[in-house]
Amino acid sequence: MVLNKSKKYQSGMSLAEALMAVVISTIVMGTAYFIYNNFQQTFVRQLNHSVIKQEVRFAIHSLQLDLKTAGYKHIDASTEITDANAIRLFDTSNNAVTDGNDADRVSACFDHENNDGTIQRKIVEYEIGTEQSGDTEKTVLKKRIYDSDNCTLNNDDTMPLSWEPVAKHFKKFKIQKKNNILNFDIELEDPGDKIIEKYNAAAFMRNVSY
Amino acid sequence: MFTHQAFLTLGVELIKNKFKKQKGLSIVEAITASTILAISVVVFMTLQSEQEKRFTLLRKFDKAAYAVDLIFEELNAVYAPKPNQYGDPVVFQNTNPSGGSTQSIVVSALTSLPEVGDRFVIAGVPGTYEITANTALTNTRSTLTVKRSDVPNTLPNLSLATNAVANAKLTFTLNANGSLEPYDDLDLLKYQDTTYKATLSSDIVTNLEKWGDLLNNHLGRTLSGDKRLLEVDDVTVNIPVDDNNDGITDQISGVDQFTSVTKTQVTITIKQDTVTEIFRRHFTNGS
Repeated sequence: MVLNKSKKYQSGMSLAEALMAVVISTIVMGTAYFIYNNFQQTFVRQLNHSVIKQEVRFAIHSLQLDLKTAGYKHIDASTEITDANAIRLFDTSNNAVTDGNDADRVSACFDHENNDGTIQRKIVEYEIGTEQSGDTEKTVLKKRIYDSDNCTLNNDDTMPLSWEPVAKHFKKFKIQKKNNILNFDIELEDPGDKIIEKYNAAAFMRNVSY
Repeated sequence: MFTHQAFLTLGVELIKNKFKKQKGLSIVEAITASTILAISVVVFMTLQSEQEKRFTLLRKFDKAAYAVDLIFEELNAVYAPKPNQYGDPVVFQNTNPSGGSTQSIVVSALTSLPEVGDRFVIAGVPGTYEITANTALTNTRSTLTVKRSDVPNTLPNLSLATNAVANAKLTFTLNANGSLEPYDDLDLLKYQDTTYKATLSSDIVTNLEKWGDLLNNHLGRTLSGDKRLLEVDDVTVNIPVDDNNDGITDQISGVDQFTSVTKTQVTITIKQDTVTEIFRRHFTNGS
């Protein structure tokens, strides 16, 4: 009888009410998750974009700094740097690339003053390569520095002094020369592969007079 | 013992009783709750959309900034082209140093008149010389008043370093007036406008088409009121004089000395949607 009495005043939810509550909760939770997820994705995208911005800023700064110097002859250097030697462009098969055509590798030659005051002619090269051996995709912009006497890579100066990575996340790196202007066509892909950003930049080479 | 019928009766009673006591939500309450939820969703979605829009604009301007830098770099090549040689000029007659702050020298074989501010070197004579005045071209000849430009202006002797012999070749190293003036008010939005392009020289049209297309690729389509304009102005700035190079501005009678330098200022204004960015670079005259 006690049991019967308690059942009489029980006011729990019916199945329909419970289902309705579940449905409403699901809608509310789903909406909240959708909004949260959108904000989260935007945040991650902005974060990845910042990484790309940082990489491309340093890459273009480095490219401009070195390549604008192409053809610079120190006043104490005994031999001239010809315009043809000052800047050189090559394709992936190592063939020279002429004005107005896309190249994959660029090298600049200029004089550098060492700490002891001696003058050293150097060649700086840029191209994209793999991040590590075994990789197939070339994603890293690399810089190679040589000592050179005559601005060409002969057998006596084919060993680079350094071969260093400059920037990551590259998808495309093409260089085109027109007279004394170098144009860079660059694409970077963010770490989450959500965005591919295309950049165009240029370097004016004041030391050459094509 | 309850019978089956009694159980049924009790169940019906309980349900009736329950609905009698249940208050639940009124229609007004339900609509209010739904409205609040809907408003919250709309607000969040609007914020999200606005954030996405601004992020997209930021990405566009980020890339456009490099494109603008590209334009400035290419203007460098326009501004400092291979100097005009005005024919194949030579020294007309043997000329001795005048020993003063200027020097007159007659130059022949000119096809056009060099401008004041142009600089040249003379075969066999040390130094670089800047034209301060010229006479009209007569029989391919002009008398140029020059001074040395590779030594401080404060030196008493700015004339020829040594004798210039007749027929010594002149090589112009710099033309005073860069060639940026024709680029003034270049509307980069009109790179496909044939009527507009017909008013420009072919060199400028080539650059306009390239730069306009580049900005379009990075910034996308334009809205009414958008702007992509290149302007060229001359600006004069005062630079402190420090001839003794001690890092302190030179003074005369206790007054700081300044020299005015004219620079060509190129401004590229980009207005896209609600954002306006102004990019500037100075090109120093005569350098």
